[in-house]
Amino acid sequence: MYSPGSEQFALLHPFHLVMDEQMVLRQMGPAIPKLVPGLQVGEPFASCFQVQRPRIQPTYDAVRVMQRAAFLLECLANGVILKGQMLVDEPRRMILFVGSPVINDRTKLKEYGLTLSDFPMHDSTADLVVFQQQRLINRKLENLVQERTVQLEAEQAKSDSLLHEMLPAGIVQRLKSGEGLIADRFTSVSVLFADLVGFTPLTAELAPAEIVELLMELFSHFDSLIGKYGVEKIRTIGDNYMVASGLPHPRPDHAQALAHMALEMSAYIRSRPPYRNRRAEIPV
Amino acid sequence: MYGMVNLAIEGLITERYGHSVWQTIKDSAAPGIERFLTMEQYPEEVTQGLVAAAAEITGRPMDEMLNELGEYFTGYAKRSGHGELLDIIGSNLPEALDNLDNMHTRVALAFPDLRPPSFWCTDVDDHSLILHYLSERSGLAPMIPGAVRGLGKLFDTEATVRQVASREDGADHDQFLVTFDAKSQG
Repeated sequence: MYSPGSEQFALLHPFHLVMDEQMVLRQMGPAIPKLVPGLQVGEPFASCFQVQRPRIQPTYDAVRVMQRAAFLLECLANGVILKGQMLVDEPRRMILFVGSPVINDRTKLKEYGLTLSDFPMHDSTADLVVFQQQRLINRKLENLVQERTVQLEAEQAKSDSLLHEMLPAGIVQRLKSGEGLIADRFTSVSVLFADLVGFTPLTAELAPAEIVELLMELFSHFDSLIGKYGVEKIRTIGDNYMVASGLPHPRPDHAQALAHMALEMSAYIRSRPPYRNRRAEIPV
Repeated sequence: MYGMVNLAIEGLITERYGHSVWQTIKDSAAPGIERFLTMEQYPEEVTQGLVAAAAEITGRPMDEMLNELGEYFTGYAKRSGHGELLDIIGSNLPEALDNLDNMHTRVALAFPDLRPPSFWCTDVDDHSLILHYLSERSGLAPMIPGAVRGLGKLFDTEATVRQVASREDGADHDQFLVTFDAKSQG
């Protein structure tokens, strides 16, 4: 059968080791000194390597029965794991180890002082390193997607709550489900408009911030009445506050409900303390 | 120990004795744990405690419990996604046993915290072999006969397993004589 020469063998197996029956190193591949600097032929195997798997002591006889096991050898100097196979040459009483370092990311390669050129072509380490690198990139992308999804959800929640503030829940639902033009017909509803008396001259007297504060205070109170009477706030424009009743859910007593609300609004206006000596009035 | 073994115990007890018996066992052995996760690490004592509690509550000898767990574990491993690995471990029972250590080593490379036992075979002939088992854990050897029988089932092979050397009796490691049906070898 064809058998390669020793030079070819070293090229094919740059990380190989040969031990004699006493487990003394007799030969090593050209890449081994890179991993274990200063290692010399003639040193005991156990002074530089530890058998991590299988769980045996590194003796000739123990290795002989474990030839069907994958071996993990730990380099005591730097913790590098060599994974490979032990072959026992019984006539010559020698053990041959053939394998290569376990590398699962390229940073380890650098750390161990190796490059991919130290690995033989038939070894799958290079493919593994590329594969792991690809996985790393994919994981980064996945993280980015996750991050963006969270941001998107937060923004969506914001726009949702804004929509809910402006529109009835049923309409929001229909808008979100893609209904373009929403125009429903209600045959019988009541609509309320409320303006502040003398608002326009008041704006000339007050600072903008004060006006906003006044309107906020009034409208917040009105808003709290919306739920109480089960009516629908339509919108505000300047000092104008617009409410409807009897939509989007029709009700027979829409006029009464809105009238009650109007009465409470003017009661509130009359009861609140005057603003800058002006008693606000609100005809409804 | 990864949660997988604890989950196998849960599966075995739940199947044989029902959920409430398992609940009792878990509450007594691992009161703080709501549920076990396959890839999570748990203290060794949790597994030992579960087996001990299971034996006590079901009133069965510990060895018998472990033996049954061993057989259940093979099926559990197959069902829980390791079936593809078991499918390629060998083409018959002796080949699978011969390859067991190799497979554990490769899995250990993927899960650095795994501290799997070593297995090797000697005295192999057409219908028997000696299976050697060496673990850094103690007390789990009674699982082996069940596990080997379970592995045999994956190859439609009836296996009988008898312990011939035991660490408890001063041997260096545990050894089992495995006899199997020669004609089922592929």
